[in-house]
Amino acid sequence: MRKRKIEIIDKTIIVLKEIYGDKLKEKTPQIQELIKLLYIIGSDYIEITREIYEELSPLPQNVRFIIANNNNIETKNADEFYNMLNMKSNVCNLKNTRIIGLDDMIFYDYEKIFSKIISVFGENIELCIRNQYESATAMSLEWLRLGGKKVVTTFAGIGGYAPLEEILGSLSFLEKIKLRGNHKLFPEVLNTFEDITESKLHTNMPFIGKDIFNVESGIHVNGISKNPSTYEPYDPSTIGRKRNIIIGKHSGINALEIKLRELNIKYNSNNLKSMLEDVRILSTQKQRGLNNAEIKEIYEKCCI
Amino acid sequence: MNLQERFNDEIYIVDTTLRDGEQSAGRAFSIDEKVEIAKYMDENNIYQIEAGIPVMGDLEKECIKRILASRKNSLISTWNRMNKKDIQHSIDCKPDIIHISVPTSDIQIYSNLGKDKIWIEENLRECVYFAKDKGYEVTIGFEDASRADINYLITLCEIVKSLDVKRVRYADTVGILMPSIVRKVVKTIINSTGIEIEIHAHNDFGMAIPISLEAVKSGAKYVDCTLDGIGERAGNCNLQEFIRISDVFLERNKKEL
Repeated sequence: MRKRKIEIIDKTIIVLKEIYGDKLKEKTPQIQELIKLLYIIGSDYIEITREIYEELSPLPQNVRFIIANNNNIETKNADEFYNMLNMKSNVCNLKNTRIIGLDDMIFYDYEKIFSKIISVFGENIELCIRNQYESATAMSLEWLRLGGKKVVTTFAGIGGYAPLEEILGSLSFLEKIKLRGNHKLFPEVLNTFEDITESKLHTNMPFIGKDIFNVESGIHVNGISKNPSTYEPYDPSTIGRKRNIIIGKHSGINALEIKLRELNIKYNSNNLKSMLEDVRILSTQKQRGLNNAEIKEIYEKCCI
Repeated sequence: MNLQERFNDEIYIVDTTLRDGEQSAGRAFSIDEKVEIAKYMDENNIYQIEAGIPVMGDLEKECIKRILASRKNSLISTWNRMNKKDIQHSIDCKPDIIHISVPTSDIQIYSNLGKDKIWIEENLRECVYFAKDKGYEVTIGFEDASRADINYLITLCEIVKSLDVKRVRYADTVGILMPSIVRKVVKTIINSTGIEIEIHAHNDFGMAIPISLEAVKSGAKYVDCTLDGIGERAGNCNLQEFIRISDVFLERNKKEL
């Protein structure tokens, strides 16, 4: 693990306020809790407005806050921005500036553009890359790779920004950078966030989806049973989740054996093939994985 | 100012909703649903549909045969592990393309399979020959390519090229790529071997779409996608989103050229 000075500024609370307005007043305790959690999982600063500051005071202790300012440069088109930087040198006088947008950075030679931004503004400029082209995480990480130090995020990417959890997870697991936060609390942040927004997020979202460590495919269960790294990019427990073997159409003998042992069923290996055929037929009929009762029923039919 | 280097101005989509997408835990399409999804892909001129894994059994084979019977535009491929039994089941279905998946990283070869690289190379030759000998177009999938030694991938490319295979799938099996990494590997493989590249990205770190687009910018011609990005763990490259975004990218570059 490397140590590197990176600052993640999270503006989830501001975006929630923009979207839900005064409705959030009913959720003040949950917002207070969310602020604490966003900080604990690894945000370096929680960005708020003066209005939010007044509404939520007293703010949670031991959390670093910053007040949003309007010293922003907004630009959707990265190529035009690059050309502008080449033509105008006076922008370099802007201090404490945030660049917002750069939505289409992935279309261009982003390394060249990021290098230009650093040469003009210095590495301390904040980049708030928007996610119109699903590239905010990738481009924020490339920015940090090239020497940038500050990025702006929101939890689950709400409002169309780089998702905080993806930036934290990628810095830890891909870039091997030691971060302050505790990623095991991702599920707790998710629960609080869903409570506030009164909506459920997709169950396959990177790092926070409830189902991302469900595994069914025979090839994958077999590989994972020998060595989890074969088909898992990181240990589920590091983000507060557990692996869950699902028995269904794509299961193999190995997965079925693991599940039967989990259910304390003493099976005869000779029956596994016919059980698996029944599993595949029933799973295809029901168009889903099977629950424990259905697996027990198949066992009783095939083996008793 | 066009900041791009050379790339293919047409992107060939390989839809794997019915194979890798369906492998998403707890998901099982009925045969009718799979045929319906394939019909939708075919009507929308998706270049290739990876229709399933024939060795899974008679239901899967029946479904693939129905998809083949009703398609008008798309090429239909089947997925196989690197063994002749799997490939024979595929041949029973008479697809347009037989895709053979080859483990390429040390963790897959030594730890998972308990084999070595000589075994991989010998079996690869045998399996490709087995399918080619019966007149099939073959594509090769480099499983876990993103954790494999690039020089070994180049060696495997040379082997399959000598057997008249034109395309390999670079599979980021556990979703660990970043755009700047995929750019380097795709360029290296194309420059070293001239083989066509199909990118297969997973979304574990939320980067399947930018990884796929960066691969295209670097010379990859084919992109694997699934409907709604369904697939193992955090899923695959989202078909609808990739088409939306790559259309903007291609249109913008057309204007600039």
